[in-house]
Amino acid sequence: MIAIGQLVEAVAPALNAAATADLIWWSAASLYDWAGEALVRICQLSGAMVERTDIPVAAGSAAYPLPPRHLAVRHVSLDGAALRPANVAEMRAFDPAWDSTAGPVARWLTDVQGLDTLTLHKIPQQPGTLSIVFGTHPPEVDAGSLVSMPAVCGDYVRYSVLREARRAHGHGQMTDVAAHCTERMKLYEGIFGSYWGRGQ
Amino acid sequence: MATAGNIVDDILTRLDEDPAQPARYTRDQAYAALNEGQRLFGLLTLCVERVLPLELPPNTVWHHMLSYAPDWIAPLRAVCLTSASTLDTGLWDRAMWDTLAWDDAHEPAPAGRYPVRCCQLRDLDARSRTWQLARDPRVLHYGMAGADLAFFHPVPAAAGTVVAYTYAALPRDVAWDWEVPEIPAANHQDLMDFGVYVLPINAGGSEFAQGLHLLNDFLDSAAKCAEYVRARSKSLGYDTLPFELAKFDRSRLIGQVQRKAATK
Repeated sequence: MIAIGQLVEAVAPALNAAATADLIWWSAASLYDWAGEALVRICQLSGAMVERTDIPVAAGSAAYPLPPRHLAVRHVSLDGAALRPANVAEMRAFDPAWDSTAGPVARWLTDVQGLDTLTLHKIPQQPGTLSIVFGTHPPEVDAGSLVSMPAVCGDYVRYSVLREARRAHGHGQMTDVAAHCTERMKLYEGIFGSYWGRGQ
Repeated sequence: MATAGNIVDDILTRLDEDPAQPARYTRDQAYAALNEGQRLFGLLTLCVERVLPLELPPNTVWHHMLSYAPDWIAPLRAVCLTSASTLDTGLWDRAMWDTLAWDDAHEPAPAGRYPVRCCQLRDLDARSRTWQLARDPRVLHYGMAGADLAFFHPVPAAAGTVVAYTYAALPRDVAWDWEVPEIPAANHQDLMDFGVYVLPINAGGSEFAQGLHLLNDFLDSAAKCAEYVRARSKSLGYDTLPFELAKFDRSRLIGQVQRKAATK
């Protein structure tokens, strides 16, 4: 569990301030924004945060909205039975009328309507429960946020905030500290990816 | 073996500070540096192991491991402790009494301890589309999605099944002078090096560049410890091995700032 308020306050001394309230060149709001961006980035790169949600399925309805903040769908099942991933090109090759065929559901697609819709094939004929396991990222963070990720992700976030603060102060220039923070972040990204991402 | 107080005193002394009354850095900052070093060392080497006896709630396939173990990094091994089993082995939902798949036992198993094999979601999907509906007091497989979402197959229909999870944990943070860091005692010196490198990051410039070789020493020690842990983990058949630091390009991490400082 990462306490974002505590983490951002710990960055303040590195920016020559006793607390975020004493910052001169930066604002506490910017620091929280950068912390939020770092959390999103680490979730995108390493797939650290995975959640599962249940969605009721209605007979005759094939399209369902994906949960907010989803990054990637990892597994879909209907009433406990796993469905297979597919894409529109594949489905068209199988059957030109694939999107109007009703029957037992066996596949799921995410490339039918934009990025936020999951489509079932075939169109379900009876109600059920769709379970989606998906990669996600935390919502926007503030001083009171508690993020359910391993505590070591907080170190990554701290280096990311420090890097962005240094770059902002240097008018976008990469100072030596900012460059070093970038490399430290890459080290963490490699480790997280090996344990929680590709390594799985 | 050094206590946290010894390490913090050493870090501050090496930075030309009076440990009793430091001027540029506070003792809290030195403690934070020490804890960060411990976390990075633990993450790189997976040297801290703990066992979590997890009693599986009935009919629950998915679990968030951070809610059971806040210091969770990755699973190493799982063993199922059960009182009885009526195991059914199958492939594509058909009983398969004459073939062994994945070394599954194909007889009703007696009570005892059984290894739980690590697998991926796609392995279970290939085995049976309805694997999430399988019920048995003896858990055969487990796997992870992301940092902490774990799944089990099959899951018990009643209470009484315990999965003893051996997992790689983050070392506990130290906050008091008398506490001893959890990483191996031989590597406590590396925490001092890490602290001396990391505190001047705030200042940047040549002081920061001068301390960078200490990060290199720290990573060398972590790589050596990880090598030992990797060999040990392989022989124990653990499911997660330490990160291969040898494959990480350190030249930019260490050399870039040093080169820049040298040309100034």
